[in-house]
Amino acid sequence: MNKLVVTVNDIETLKKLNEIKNIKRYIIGINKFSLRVGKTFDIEDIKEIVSIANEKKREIFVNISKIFHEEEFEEIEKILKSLKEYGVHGIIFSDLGIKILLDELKLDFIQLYSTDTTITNSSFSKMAYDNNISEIELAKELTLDEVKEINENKKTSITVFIHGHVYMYHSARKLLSNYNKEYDVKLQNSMHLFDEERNVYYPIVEENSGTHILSAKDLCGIRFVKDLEKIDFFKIDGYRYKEKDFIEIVKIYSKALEDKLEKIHLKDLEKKIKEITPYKKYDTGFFTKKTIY
Amino acid sequence: MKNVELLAPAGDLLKLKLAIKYGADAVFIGGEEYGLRSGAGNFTMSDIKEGVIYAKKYNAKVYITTNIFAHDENYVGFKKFVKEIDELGVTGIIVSDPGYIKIAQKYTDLEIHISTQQSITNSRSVKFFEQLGADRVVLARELNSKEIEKISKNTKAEIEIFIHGAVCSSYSGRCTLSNHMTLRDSNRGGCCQSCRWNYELGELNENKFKSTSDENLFNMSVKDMSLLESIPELMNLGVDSFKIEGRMKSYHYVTTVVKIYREAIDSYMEDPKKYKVKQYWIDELKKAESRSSAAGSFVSNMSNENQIFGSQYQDKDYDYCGIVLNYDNQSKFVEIEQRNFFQIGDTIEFMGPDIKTFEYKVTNIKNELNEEIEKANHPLMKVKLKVDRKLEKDYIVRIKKEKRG
Repeated sequence: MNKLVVTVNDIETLKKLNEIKNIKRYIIGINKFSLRVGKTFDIEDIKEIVSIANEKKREIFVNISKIFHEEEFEEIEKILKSLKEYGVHGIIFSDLGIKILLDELKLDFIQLYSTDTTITNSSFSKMAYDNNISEIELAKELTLDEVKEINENKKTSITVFIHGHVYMYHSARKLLSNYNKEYDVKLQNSMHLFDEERNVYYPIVEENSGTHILSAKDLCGIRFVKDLEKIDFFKIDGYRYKEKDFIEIVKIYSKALEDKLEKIHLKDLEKKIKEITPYKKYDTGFFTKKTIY
Repeated sequence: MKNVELLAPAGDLLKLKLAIKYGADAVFIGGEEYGLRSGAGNFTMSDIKEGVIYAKKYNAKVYITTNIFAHDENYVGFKKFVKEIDELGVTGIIVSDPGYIKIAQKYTDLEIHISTQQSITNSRSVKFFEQLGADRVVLARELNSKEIEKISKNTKAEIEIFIHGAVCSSYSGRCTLSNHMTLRDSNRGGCCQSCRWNYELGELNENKFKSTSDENLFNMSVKDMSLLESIPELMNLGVDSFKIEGRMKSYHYVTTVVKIYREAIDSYMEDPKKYKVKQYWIDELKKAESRSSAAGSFVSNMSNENQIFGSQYQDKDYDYCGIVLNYDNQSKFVEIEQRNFFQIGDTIEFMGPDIKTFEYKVTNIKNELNEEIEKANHPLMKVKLKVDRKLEKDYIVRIKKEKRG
């Protein structure tokens, strides 16, 4: 079951991940244009990364998830051409302007549309299909039943985010810098917000792309691996994990797929994940929570 | 120079009528489902019917917001809804969900306006939605004037931009704070405005939190947008529609903001060379503000000057206190429906679509039985004041807040 999609931001880690079964593709970030990836790669390194992935017939997808402004297209155009040259297989974008650019340039990448928050029903898959976008990643704010229903009615491949930090807010504004300026202080660009009413802490991070706020708890969806077995791809995101722990977590998901484990055993694996990362708080996200409005 | 549409929010039928009367070329309203702002006073089918008939009389257009990102359950009844509003004469829908777009295209002649929820920031992104069949695209609120100009030059669809009102501090559609904090889906109209709440800011190490914010709590709140002072620039961007935010806001807000932008736009159109922004307009807009305002990304780089630190609401200098029902030319008595307390000795103001706002000192109040009274202290009570200047139905009455001892 080659359906794991994992983020990578280091060549040595990539080599280790290459030894783990059931991984279909790697997602990497590049400077300036990838949101929330931690370390990014230089364009020159990507050739090597592709060749390492190719050894195991695995794909490299580049995440260019930023929302683009007019002036940035010249630069991203050059980058996309280089990425094609270096053998990158797919591009993940959240800005549909990038889709238009790829068509203009006639660059033959696998196109994956992902916004994290807005892709909430099967009509997105139809829209993607009609426009030659071959894959979509679903929003994280969906219940298990909703995910399954979308999967039944899909026209494209579907990725479901299964493990990692959960992003809940992206502003173009540099909120921490603005706070520093307002109060004449010097806070770092990675802090926490304390929500007194719910007694939880939300990571808040400022990047070039603006400010991001993450959920107090990471998503751990391993117990649903069986429920979601018809889904094409599971994404595991290593942002804000210690490298060695992340590799262990990927191994655990790989085992879950390999052994086709039933739910009862999956819960044991969930326990194991929690033991490996005692510094993380987890929940099952919106898989088991229905929102109102 | 293009004739630019002035597009106003209308949270209910009276707001729709007032907005049009005060100078809006078009209004956007919400139905009972499918739109964001589930808390706004939304329109029933019969309200929509009446609103469209009213709008047609004034040559104005009505758009309906169906801009949620739907889950599968939100498709129930959508086809019937869009067919009905199309038959009633609604001009278009403001929409972000591709499934909704498809249904509207298949079964109706409604115009398709892509909501700002799609956070469209560049001309290629506009092109994608043109390919989907969009008639109009509402741009993201993170753009500066040069970017907007470039986009409208390089695209075919009509371009709409926000010029006034509250804005999301995040990219629209890319925030689910509300989902996480309160289980209310922000992209389906449940936003609980968590970005306006206060939080302690600090460092978390080994599960120990060290606050660094002291008394200066942190929030993500942004000042409201106000582009009145950029009218000449706005008029030359090549965009088709100027949108005012605020379906949840008061009659006072809608009438004041529409009136002032109408006057400013008309004044510019009449003679661009001689145009100057009037201090009177600036002062009037201030009276309808509930938060402080700034020009946002349009002219600046979204720095700290565009954010609200500390208290979210400023003390208002004026309150909405009534609406004119009629005026008797002979006796010179105006009948007012009260919306807020006022009494003899207070200074109130009358504002109408075709007059310059003027002050009036309350010296007499009569109730419905023509009895002299001291104060108008019941909500919706009808009172009469003697005012020498001619007034008309739907003029707005506001009160200057004085510190009562």
